[in-house]
Amino acid sequence: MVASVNSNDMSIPTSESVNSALPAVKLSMGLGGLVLVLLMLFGLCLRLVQGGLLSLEPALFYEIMTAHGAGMVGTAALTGAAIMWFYLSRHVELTGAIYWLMLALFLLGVALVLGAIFVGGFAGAWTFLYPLPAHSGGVWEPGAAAIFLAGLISIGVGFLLFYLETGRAIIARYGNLSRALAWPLLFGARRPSLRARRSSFSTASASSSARRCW
Amino acid sequence: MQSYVLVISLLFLLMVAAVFWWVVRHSTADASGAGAGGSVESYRGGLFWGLVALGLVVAALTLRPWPYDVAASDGATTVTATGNQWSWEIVPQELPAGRPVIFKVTSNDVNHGFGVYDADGTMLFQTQAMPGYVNQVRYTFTKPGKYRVLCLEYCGLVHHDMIEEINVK
Repeated sequence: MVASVNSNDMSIPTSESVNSALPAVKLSMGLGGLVLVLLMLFGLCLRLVQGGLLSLEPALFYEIMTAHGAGMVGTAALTGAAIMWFYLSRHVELTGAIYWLMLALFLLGVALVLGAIFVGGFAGAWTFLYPLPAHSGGVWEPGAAAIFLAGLISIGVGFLLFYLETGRAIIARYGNLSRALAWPLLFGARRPSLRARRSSFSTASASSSARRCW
Repeated sequence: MQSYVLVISLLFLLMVAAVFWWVVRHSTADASGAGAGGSVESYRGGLFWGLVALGLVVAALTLRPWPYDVAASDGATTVTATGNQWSWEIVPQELPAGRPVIFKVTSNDVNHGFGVYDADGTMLFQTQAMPGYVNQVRYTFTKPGKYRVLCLEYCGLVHHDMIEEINVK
């Protein structure tokens, strides 16, 4: 699993599982950048309407607002996850397939969300505050709200798997939840020595060396 | 108000830019020395508990007076305010100045936000208008005049036009 070990280097060696997710991490960042530009244009459009410089039907205005909200939150969450995975993978042993699965569920969710908004006319805002999605005042059908919700669920399940995997890997590295959350640094125990943190990385020795240093 | 927002936004933008500049500037430095050691260890715990204590003090100070406590309201006028897609029913719409008013706020359909503004556009108080639930808030208007009620919770196609007026005499 471990490609190289350098006991004098703070960075932890890359493993096969990390490399397998690297294309997906890069894809996430590339998509995030492109979508962010599109969302800036959406935001500019909304502000121009509010400033009276552009005219849009209220239904389309609120569709764009819904897409802008869902897009901003989704882009921040996806790129944040990508960056976290990239750096975390230098310190713990992550399963690359989980990242690919998260990205696939995310893209499926994006397709459902965009379809619900721009085909189904859903404009209940990304916050999906019940009971507005079910009571649109005749603007969109409940089916469009259901598809939007299915999209959010798909994205949510992907992130749930992602965070369960990162949590599992961190706990496996540090021994238990308290150490994984670095609580000993706040609540009395002294900091692990640098020498211990530099110890060679492998799944088998990680938890035992972590126990020694905490 | 807009100029304050502009200045605050610019200040925070500069702070974020400074952080980026600092990180880029120091990104080539040797990381193996672990600069976060030493003095940080001695005050991290104190800083944490200090922030917890500060949070409790700020919460206690800013949550009084508590406008949602309507128990002590002798001689108060009661107003019912009901949100609908997309209008307000406010009864009565003429209210006295200088005496406490209790607003009982609810909704017939979806969630709305009941926000009351003075003539300058400054928000005086707000509460949520929720279906199947009555939120109560107490307020004493000090000056006669016209006050506006705006919906503060996105409620669908005509949310932006859900505006009503209150007359205080």
